[in-house]
Amino acid sequence: MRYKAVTSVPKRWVEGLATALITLISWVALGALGGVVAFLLYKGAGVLSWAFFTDLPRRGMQSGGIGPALVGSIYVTLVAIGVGSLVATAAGAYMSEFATSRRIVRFLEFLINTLAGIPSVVYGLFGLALFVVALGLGASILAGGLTLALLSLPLLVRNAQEAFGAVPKALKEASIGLGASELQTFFRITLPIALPRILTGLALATGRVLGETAPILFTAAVYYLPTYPKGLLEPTMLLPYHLYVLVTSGVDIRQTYPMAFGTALTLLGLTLAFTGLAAYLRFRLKRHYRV
Amino acid sequence: MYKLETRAVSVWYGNYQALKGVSLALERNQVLALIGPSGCGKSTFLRLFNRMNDFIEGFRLEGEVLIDGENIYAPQVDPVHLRRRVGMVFQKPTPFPFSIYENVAYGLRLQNRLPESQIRERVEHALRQAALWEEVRDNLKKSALMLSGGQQQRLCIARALAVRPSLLLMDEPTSALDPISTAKIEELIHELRQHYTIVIVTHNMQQAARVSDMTAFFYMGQLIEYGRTKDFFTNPQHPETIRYITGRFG
Amino acid sequence: MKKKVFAVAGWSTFLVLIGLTVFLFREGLPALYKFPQPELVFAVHPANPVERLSAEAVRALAEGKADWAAFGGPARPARLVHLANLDRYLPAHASAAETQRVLADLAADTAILLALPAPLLPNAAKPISVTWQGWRELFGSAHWSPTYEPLPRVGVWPLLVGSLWVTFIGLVLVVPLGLAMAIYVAEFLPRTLYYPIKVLWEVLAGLPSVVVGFWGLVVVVPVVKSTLQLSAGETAFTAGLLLGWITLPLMASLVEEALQAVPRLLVESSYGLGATRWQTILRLKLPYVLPSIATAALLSAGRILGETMVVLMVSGNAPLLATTPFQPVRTLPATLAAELGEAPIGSYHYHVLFFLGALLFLLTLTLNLAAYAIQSRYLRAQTLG
Repeated sequence: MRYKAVTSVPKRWVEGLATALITLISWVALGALGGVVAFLLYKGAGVLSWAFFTDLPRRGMQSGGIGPALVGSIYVTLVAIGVGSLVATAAGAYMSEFATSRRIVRFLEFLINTLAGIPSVVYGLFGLALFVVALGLGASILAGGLTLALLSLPLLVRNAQEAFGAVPKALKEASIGLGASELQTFFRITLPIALPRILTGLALATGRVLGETAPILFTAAVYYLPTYPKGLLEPTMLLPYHLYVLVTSGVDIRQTYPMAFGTALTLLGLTLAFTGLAAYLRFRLKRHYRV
Repeated sequence: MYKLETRAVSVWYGNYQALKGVSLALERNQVLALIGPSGCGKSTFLRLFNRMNDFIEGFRLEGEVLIDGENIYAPQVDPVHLRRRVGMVFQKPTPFPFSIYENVAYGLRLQNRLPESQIRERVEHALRQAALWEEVRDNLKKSALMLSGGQQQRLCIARALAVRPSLLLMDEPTSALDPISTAKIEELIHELRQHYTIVIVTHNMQQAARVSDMTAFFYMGQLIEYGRTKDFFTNPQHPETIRYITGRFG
Repeated sequence: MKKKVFAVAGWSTFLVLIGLTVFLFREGLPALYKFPQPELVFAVHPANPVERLSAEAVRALAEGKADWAAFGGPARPARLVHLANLDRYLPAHASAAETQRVLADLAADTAILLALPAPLLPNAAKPISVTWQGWRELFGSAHWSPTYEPLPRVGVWPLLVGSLWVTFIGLVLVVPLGLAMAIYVAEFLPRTLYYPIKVLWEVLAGLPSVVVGFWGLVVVVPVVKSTLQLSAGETAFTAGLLLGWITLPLMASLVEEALQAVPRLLVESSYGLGATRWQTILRLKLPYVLPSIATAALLSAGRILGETMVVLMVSGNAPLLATTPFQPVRTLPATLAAELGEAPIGSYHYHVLFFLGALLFLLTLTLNLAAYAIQSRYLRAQTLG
C-alpha cells in the first residue's frame, strides 16, 4: 500500500514562507543591534583618544573630554557593586544554604521577583527620599552608588542563590559528614565552588549599572562639574547623564554632537565589555563542569 | 559496653514514620550489615549515628541512640563534634575539587590546631589504611577529580579515616563501582575491622554475607531480624527474611 | 551566631520593598490633601463679598473665563496679581516701600484678586480661603502644568495616556516579533548558533537606554518624520518602536524557554500522528505555552511602562493628551526624570511627583503580580497534568 502525502504541496510552501519570515525577523532585530554599534563606531571612533578620556569638558561641552564623567561613573559603580555584591551574596547564601524553611525561601524569591520588576526611576525616587534627604547624604557618589546597589540586588541575589544551589549536594554532605559546621562548609566548599558563577553575575551587574541613568539623575549626577570628584559625599558628572545632557540641552546641540558620539561609544564599549565578559565566563563554566 | 546501641528508636519525617521501634546493639570492631528493600529505613537508621537526619525537615526521634554508652541525641551533645568522631562514606564518591592531599587533610584542618608535619603524617597513614597510598604517593598535589571511580571512593574512605573516628558508616559504598573496585573495597573493610567498628548499608546480599559479622534485615521501617551473619543466611528465622533472601521481593 | 549576618542580608530584600513602599506613599500621599502654595495668601478687596473659592474658580477668574459675579462678587472680570506678574506693575529693583505703595493702590480695585506671600499683602486686603481637592485635581484634569501660577495644574491623564500609547505600540511590536524570534531559535536555529544568539540577545537587552535614546534621536526620529510625513518625528510611536525593540530579548527568551520545556513525549506524539513541524508548533506547542506567552507579555509591558531615558529623548516630552500615537507625549517615568530635579524638596510639586512614582509603582506591581499569578497557577497545572 502506498501512502499519499498527508501534507498537500501548497501547505508545505506556506510553511516554508513562515519559516523564512521568522528567520528574517530574528536576524533583522539583531542586525539593528549591529547597526547601532556600527553607526556609533563610525561616528564616534574619531573622537576617542586618551585626551578625550582624561580631559575636562570645555567650551560648554563642545570640546575637551569626559574625564570627570568617566571617573565619576567608575566611583559610583565601585560603590554599587561593592556594597551590592556583599549583601547579595550573603542573601543568596541565606536563601540557598541557611534558611530554615522552604516557605521562607519561596517568600523571599517572590519578593525578589517583585523588586526585579520595579522601574529604575522608582528606585531613583526611593534613593532620593532615603539616601539624599532622610539620611542626609545629599546628592553624592555614595547616595547614587547605594541606590544602584539596591537596583542590582534582585539580579545579584538570584544569581548567588543559583550559584550556591548548583554546588553538588553530595559535596556539602560529605563536608558535614566529616564534622564541618554549616559555616565551615559554606566558606571552604560551597563559596569557592560557586565563586566563578558569582563573578559572572557581578560582571553582568556592572555592565548594567554603568549604563543606568534614571537612578542617578537625582541621587548623584550633576550637570556640569568640571573637576574630578574628591570624596564619596560629593556629587559628580556621570557618563550616561552626560550623554543625555549633551544631546538634549546645551546651547547648540549640533556642536556637541561629536562629544556625544564619543561619550555614547565609550559607554557602549564599557557595557559591551562587561556583558561580553559575563557571557565568556559563563561559557567557560559550562565547559568546565561538563568534564 | 556496646559500641553502639539503639533502644526502641522510632523516626518520623513529618507524618511519615520511617522507623518503628528499632532496638539492636553492636560490639566493638564488628561489621554490621543493614539489608532490606528500597525505602525500608536502613539509610535512615544508618544516618542516626552521625545525626545527618537532623537536616531533613520534619525529623523527629523517639527512643535512644547510644555510642559508647552515651545518648547522642541528648541536648548537650554537639552534632558537629559527633561527626568528627563518626566517619561516613556515601554511595557515590564525592571528592572535593581540591588536590588529593587537601581532600584527605580537609577534616584535619577543621580543627586548625595541628602542625603541617602532623597533618602530612595523618594523610599518609589514612591513605595507607585505605589502600590508596601506593597509587597516589607521587601525585598528592594532583586534582582528586583525576582519579578513577574506585580510587575516588577509596579517597573518600581515607578522608573519613584521617580524623580517626571510632565508628565508620558506609551507605552503599560500592553500588556505583565496578566489580574490581568493589572487591578492593570489600577487602579494605575486612582490614579496617581491626581498628574500627563499621556499619554498612548494602543492597547486595552476597556482599553482606562476605564482609559482615552481624546482619540486620529491615522491612517497612521495622527491624525484622538481627543476628550473626553466618547464622543469618544459613538459617533465617523470620518468614519475611526468608522471602527477601530468596529473592521473592526487594 | 555568624549565621545571623546571613539572615539579615537575606531579609534585606524585604526591607527594601517595605522601605520603598513606605517612602513612596509617605512623600506621595500629601499630593492629595496638601495645599500647593501654602505660603501664598489669596485676598480680595474688602467690599468683595466672596469668602472662599475653589481652585477651579481661581483659575477661571485668572484666565478671564468667568467674572466675579459667577461666585457672588461684583459683575466685573477679575484682575489677578501674583508673584509671576508683579513685574508688570513694579519697576525692577523696587524698594520695599515702593512695593507696598503699588500693592496698596492695586488693592483699591474691587476686581482685584491677590495671591501673595503674607508679608507683601496690603493691610487693607481681605484674605479668602481657597479649597484644593487633590484627588479631583490629579484625576479630573487633562492638563499637566505643575509650575503654573498661581495654582498648578496637576492632571495626570496626559501622562497616563502617554504611557498607555507608548506601551501599546511597544506591545504591538514585541509580542508578535518576540514570538517569531522565540519560535525561530527554539525550532529552526542551527544548534551551534544557539549560544551566540542568546549572548546577542543579552547584549541587546543590556544596551544602556540612554544610548538607545541617542541613536533613536539621531537616526529613527528623522526617518519617522519623513516616512510618516509628520511635523516632528518625536512621538509616542517612535518611543514605542524603540522600546519594543529592546524588550524583544525579554519576551523572546521567556517564550523560547517555555517552548523548549514542552514535554518530549507530547511532541513525539504529534509527529507520530503525522503532523508537520509547523503544525506541531501552531497546534501543540503554542497553545501549550500560552500561559508563558501571557506572562512574558505582561512582564514586557511592565518593562516598557517603566522605561525612562528612551522616552525622554524621542517622545517629544509634551504633556498633552494625545489622541493618536503619532503625537508627542509625556509618560509617567519621563515626567519623574524631567521634573524632579527642579522640584524643591518638600514642595507640592515634589509630592505630586512622588505620587506619580507611587502610581507607576502600583501599575508595574500589578502587571508583575498578574504575570506571577499566571505562571504559578498554570505551571502547577502543567506539572501535575
